[in-house]
Amino acid sequence: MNPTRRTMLGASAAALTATLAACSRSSDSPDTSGTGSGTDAAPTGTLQWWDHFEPLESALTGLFEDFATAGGGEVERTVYNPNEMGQALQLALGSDQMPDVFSNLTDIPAPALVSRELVGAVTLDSQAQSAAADLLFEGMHTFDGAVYSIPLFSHQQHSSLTWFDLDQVERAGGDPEAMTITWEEFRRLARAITANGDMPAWVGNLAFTGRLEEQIVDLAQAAGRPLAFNTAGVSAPDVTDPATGDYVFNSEEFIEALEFLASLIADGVMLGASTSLDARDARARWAAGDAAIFFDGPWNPGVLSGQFPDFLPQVSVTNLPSPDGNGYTARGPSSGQFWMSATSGHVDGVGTLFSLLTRPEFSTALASNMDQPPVDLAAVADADVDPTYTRAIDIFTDWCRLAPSPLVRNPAVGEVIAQMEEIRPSLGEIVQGYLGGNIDDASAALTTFNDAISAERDRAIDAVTSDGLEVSLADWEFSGYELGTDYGPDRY
Amino acid sequence: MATTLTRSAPPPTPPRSARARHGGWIALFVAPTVVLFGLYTLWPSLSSVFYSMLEWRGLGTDRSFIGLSHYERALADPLFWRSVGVTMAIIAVTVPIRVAIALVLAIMLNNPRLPLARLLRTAFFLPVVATTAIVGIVMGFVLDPSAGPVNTLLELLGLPPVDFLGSSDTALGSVMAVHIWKWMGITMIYWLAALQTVPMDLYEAAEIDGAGTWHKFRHITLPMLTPFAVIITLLTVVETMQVFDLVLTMTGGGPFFSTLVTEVYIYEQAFTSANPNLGYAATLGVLFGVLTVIVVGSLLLITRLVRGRKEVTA
Amino acid sequence: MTSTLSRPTAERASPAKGTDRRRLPVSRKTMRWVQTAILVVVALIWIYPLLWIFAASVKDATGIFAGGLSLLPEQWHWDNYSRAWSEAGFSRYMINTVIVTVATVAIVVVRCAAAGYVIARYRFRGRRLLIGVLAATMFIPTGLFIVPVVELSDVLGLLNTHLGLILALAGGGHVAAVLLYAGFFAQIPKELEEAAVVDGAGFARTFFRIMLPLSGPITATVVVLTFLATWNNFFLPLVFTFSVPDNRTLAVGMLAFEGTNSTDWSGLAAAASLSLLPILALFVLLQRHFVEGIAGAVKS
Repeated sequence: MNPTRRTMLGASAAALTATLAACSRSSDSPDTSGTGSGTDAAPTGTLQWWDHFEPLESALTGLFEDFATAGGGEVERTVYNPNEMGQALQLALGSDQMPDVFSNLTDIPAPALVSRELVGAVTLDSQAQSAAADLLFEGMHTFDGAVYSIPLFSHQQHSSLTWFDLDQVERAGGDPEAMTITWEEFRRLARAITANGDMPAWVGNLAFTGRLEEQIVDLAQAAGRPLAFNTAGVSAPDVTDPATGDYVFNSEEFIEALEFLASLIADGVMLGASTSLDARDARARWAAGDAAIFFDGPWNPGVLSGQFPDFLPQVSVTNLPSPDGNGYTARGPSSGQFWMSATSGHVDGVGTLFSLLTRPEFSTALASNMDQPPVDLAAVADADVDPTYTRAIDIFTDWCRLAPSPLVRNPAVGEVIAQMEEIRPSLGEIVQGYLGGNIDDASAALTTFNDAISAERDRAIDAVTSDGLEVSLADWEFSGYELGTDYGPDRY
Repeated sequence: MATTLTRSAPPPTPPRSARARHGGWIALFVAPTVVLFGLYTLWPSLSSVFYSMLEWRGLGTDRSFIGLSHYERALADPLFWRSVGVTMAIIAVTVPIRVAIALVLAIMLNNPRLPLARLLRTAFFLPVVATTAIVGIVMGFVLDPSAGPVNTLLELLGLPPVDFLGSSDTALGSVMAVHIWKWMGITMIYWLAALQTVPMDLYEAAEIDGAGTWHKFRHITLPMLTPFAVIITLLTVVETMQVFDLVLTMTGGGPFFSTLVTEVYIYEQAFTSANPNLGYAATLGVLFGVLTVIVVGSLLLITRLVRGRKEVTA
Repeated sequence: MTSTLSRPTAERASPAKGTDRRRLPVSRKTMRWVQTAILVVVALIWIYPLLWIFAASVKDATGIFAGGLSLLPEQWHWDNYSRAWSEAGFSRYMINTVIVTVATVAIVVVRCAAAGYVIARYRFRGRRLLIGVLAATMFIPTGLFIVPVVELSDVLGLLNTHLGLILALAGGGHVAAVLLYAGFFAQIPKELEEAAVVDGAGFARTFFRIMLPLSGPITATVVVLTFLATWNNFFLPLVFTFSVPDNRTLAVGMLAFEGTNSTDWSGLAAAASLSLLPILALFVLLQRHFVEGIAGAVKS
């Protein structure tokens, strides 16, 4: 549910999507295909709603009840495991069984969803229009001025918050009230906790390369590296230097961030098992008392309250460590989560539902799930949530900013990204390889990666421009951007 | 099995009239298999070959014909060859060990007077039944470097702890060990079956002659089992080529490609890569299929040559 | 093969013999018990991970991670089972799995036995070709056929149906089963068939009344191996139930325990334990035939 994971799963789902798209050719034969026509879907029956946001159960149920009370009719929601969402969609697409509303896990860039006529525009009510005005970007949520989707989650988040066991940090002389922490203080604290002998200080999720990729990017930003992001998700091809438009994975800040993680291993403060844990396992080990500190997203208290309720009161949180403790991070604009099928016969109903998504009550309900934070961070204050969640949101409010997005400037950038072959070893795999001792020279490995991904983008740009789209390296340049400031819609 | 069948005597030929009379029945009896096999095995094989010549991106539904260029790329793809190496290493190491352990157990458990024999057989077969996904999770605990029982044992013996699944030096070995554990039961059943063909009276006669366990094994069991060894080894090789699930749940091919078997690499290309490529995945699949046939074929050839020579010398 | 069938099995042969017992009264018997003791210890270590799964199914999440390797939970959480059974929909998944597995096993047995029978006992045009193609494809990794199989099922209008899934599971592969049956039927003496014909039995009757019942051990083998593969099959049922979650099987249903940010380990362990039982029962039930069946096949 955090951006990176979504991106990753999205990619895999997209693959299956394509797989099944081809499979669906038969039923997609030209004369019978209903794609885009919208006429064959009778506005009868219940409104079908498919998504993969399992933690949103209560928030969406409330929304649907409001909708039904207002005479909108029944909504039938199907929740998919993120791994299956894209596959289900494509099967449905092939056999003309598309739901009225779906969450776009497939990672097909929004412009492509629109140009392939998979989705339709919705009409928001006036209250929703004014509420959403500042959140909508042309080329991402609106196309030719028409609204297609609404962002639910804030771009002000990351998955590298420092979650810790209060007792252990206090005993080691740390300040549990601090909202930020420096690299030096983090290392000192970690050594002190380990020396106390109860447990190693830090548990990592070194088996989860997608999360490692996200963490290294955010650590590099916190170390002062300004970056541009296409969306709020982190995936190497989407992350560039705003000044030059180049990839900069071999820059000083990335190497320093990598060395910082490596120093935790060298200091002997890492739980040995970290090398074979993904985020879910690592969190469970941390909650079971195997380690004192764990980097995770804001959803951590939400998971703990369900699975490890006894541990939650012993927990607090500070921002990700940065060299001087004042590191900002930023992400691109958050893309829309829900889309209406072009074939939906419930255009008015979906418009009403999407309007309800922009109401403050929904943001509050969203916040009370303690999952990804709502677009309106202030809504968290009104929600009944664990204090650590509020604290995490306070940290995001102070230290997370909006990065410039090449995709928003030119939607054709999305086509370029879609054309790029994956470079192996990936950024996350290099981090894993360096921390695990398979790579000796981090700088050389990152340079090789950076050269390869740069060349791959050049190739993709050539391929896309030869198809007639206009896109160039200049689309990636944002000369006026400074890390720590917001790059709002007015600056494009 | 296949080879033994094709080499076995031709079927009895019923009288011509009978054949004519049964023509319809024969067709009816073969039809389901021919039709289903054609639809679900032959056709997909041919489609895979076709897909392998397509540029078929994950993010789009467009397919265009590009000929053999995926094959060029695959032959020069270091990760593909690495994955083939890992797969072959798993076969080379686990098959002999698995076949040997299974044989020893089968001989012990074949003893009719051994108490609890059937219960023990079931116990050793049990891992075969267990769902792979959950086996991956359990083994994470068993092999855990900080708290797992294996490392606790090592500590008692005064040895340094080993990061079984987390280190690229040991991950492959650990996967091999778990693979042997998971599937040994089925090989044991094959051996038990083979042992049923050894007449009990041979042992009894030998025992009356005062033959010891080793003697019986060396002069009765072993010679009688040799022909089966080929088939059982072959079946084990084929099963081992499909280590996919286990690797995916235990290590996902990592750390740092150390357990990347070919099927996992293909799966990544098709489904989980940042920019999935179904045409290329199909290419790797076809190449892997060809490699499998080559490996199995040469194993068969070697066996046949060795056997042939034996017959000549005998 | 017939000799295997008629020869008394190991277990049955044993009580008749007692000669050696008199000569080496103590040592052999003691040896056997020592051997058993060793085997029991090894077997316990062998199944420890499986016992751990069962133990995890009655613990809570904290218990699993804090308890490490201990098998005894501090508190027995049987509610994991009720959660798995009702909330996660396992009662429905169980029914689906049983339907799909039983139908698949039935189809595989009938079609493979029928094909094996005529391949073994009749000459017909294309017989050699059929054997050749079957044998050649036995070694092709079929796990990668998912895309064309889905494409095909969609063309046939069978996607999202139990029937489509059953055909896909029963259709591909199973070459070994055909060859097992062929090997078995090839060894049945011709007289048996001739006697049937004299009695006035037709082709089908001979097969279903005489041949198929004779092949009990082979059938046991095919049933267990097919059951095993179908029961635990994951990818095909996954793809065939995207749009119809109500059609899911147990193996796919286990996914429900893996949430976006968390895994319900104890629910997963309970579900795994539940899904293990039927297959275990089947193995215990068919164990003897199973071994014999493979014996017959291996021998041929």
